[in-house]
Amino acid sequence: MEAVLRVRVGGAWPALAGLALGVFVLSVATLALGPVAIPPERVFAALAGQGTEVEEAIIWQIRLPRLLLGLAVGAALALAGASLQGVLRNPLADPGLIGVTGGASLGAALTIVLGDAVAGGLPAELRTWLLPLAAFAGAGLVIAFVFALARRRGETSVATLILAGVAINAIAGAAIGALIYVSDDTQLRDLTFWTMGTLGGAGWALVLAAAGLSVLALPMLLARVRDLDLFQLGERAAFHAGLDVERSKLRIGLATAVAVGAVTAAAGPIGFIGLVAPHLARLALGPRHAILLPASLLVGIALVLAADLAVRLAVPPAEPPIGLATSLIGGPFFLWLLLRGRGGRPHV
Amino acid sequence: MFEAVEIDVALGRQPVLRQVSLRLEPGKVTALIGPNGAGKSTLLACLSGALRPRAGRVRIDGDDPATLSAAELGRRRAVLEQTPSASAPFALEELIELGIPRAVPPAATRQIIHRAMAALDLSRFQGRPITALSGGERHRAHMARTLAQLWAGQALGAGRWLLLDEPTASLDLAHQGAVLRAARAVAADGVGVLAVLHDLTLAAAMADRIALMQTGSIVALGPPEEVLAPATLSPVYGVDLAVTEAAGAVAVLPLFNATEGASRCSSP
Repeated sequence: MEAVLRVRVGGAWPALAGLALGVFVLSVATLALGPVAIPPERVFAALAGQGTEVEEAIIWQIRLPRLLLGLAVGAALALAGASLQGVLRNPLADPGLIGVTGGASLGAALTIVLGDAVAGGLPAELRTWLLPLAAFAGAGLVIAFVFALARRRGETSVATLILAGVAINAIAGAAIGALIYVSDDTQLRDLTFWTMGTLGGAGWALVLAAAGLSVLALPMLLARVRDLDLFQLGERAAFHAGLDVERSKLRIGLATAVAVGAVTAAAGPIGFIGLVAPHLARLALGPRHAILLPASLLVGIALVLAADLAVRLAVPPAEPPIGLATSLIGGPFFLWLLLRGRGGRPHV
Repeated sequence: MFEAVEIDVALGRQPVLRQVSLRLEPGKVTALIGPNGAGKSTLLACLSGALRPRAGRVRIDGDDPATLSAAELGRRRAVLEQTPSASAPFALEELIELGIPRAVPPAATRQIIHRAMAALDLSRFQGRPITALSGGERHRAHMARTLAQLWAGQALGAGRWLLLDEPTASLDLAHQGAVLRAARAVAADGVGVLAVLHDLTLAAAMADRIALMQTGSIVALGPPEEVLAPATLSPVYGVDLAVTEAAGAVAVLPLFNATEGASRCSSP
């Protein structure tokens, strides 16, 4: 038996190492490729401060913040998705589907349109944080609301939670529509680009804020792997096995809201990463969260960087929003999941 | 000591338990029997700490479960739920390992997993995902997880109580025997066991004491030969019963009557 467990856990390390290598290659490609291609060795030179002025400007001002945001977005959305799927024992739980992204979007849209009017007097350094904070507040409110609404007799009803998320998404969408209606031309342009999702729109300050908050939130989720395993028994049985279910849900909900709020503020709503990345990781490496969470994180980063490269290289120098690419991949994947379930094969 | 004293529970306005008192004894197996809806699982949930009674008190080793952390409760008592399930295709050992807190060292963890698999005749399934097991095998796997939790609690200096809600539902006769022996074995180690059972013959074989419940109250409590009497059981279950002895074991036989039984069953 010892051997069996070691094979299952140990067998995952080559896969994780392979994923990490893939993420590294995609990271270098993100820095190297674009309208001006820079060979990898020049990329490293520019990073070390030994490149030409143009190379250093491109790397440091444009591509490095973009890469950093891509890493934060992929990691945050994938881990949030894997954690929510674990808590709810449901493969459909995705920060977008249950309204968390919608809440974050509404918070961010409010800041974009009404920020000048409400907080125009704040110094610039503080205003950078206003966007992620508003998005976090929106995400946190939605998570608290849907979990509270879905609580029935001490257990969380997943069906109610997902339906509540659908309703929240509709409300947030309508509210953002109303904001578009009252915004001026500049705000409208900002809002439209932001709504479609892009890794290229945020400056260093916002990228650092988003990455910083993600770095804060992600260890909180990675520390909950045993909780997430226990949640698979159902909330009552998880409690019997020694898990403080409510405190664990609170921690996971808080970390999810911080992570999703931060990256949504900086990159806009990016769909399907939180759904697809954990699914792929689970299919390949099994259900144990000790492996599933790091694997989801790496798959999420790889998907985001690959989608970003795809939209940048598709029709240069035009740059379609990354949300288009992830939805184009994610939508059909979602349908495939549904059709696969109909085939009667064991559900993973 | 593990006891419920005069507890009341209501779901909405419907009373489910009325003034129920039950004390578990170390080293003894108590069977909880009664018709559907009598409140057996609710009583078990109050003892486990999952449900807080509206009135009355529950004490586990002198403490109110509501004042203990879930982790501490998990060390003191292990619980098998009525319909245990896992929504992920864990391997058998991984499922059993879920019962064992991380405070238990790895070597002891592996030993406990082995012991739990052996106790429930599961060793040949090791490495298999539980989704590939039959319903009865899966039920035994969850029973093994519960035993592992109890033994892990003992390794950490506690582990004195075991609560089982219909541990033999969906098991064949041989494996009902395996569960019976496992419950008797942990009781022999000094653990107090409470088992909700529907099979009265099995209850007679497993239990030192039997508590009979009807509509939210314990109506009889005592040794099996006392509670398992047709005069006590028939009015509660609404079925005529015969109690016989064969080869030293007590057997309770329901005397179903296809023509007139229906009217008797419908009366409470």
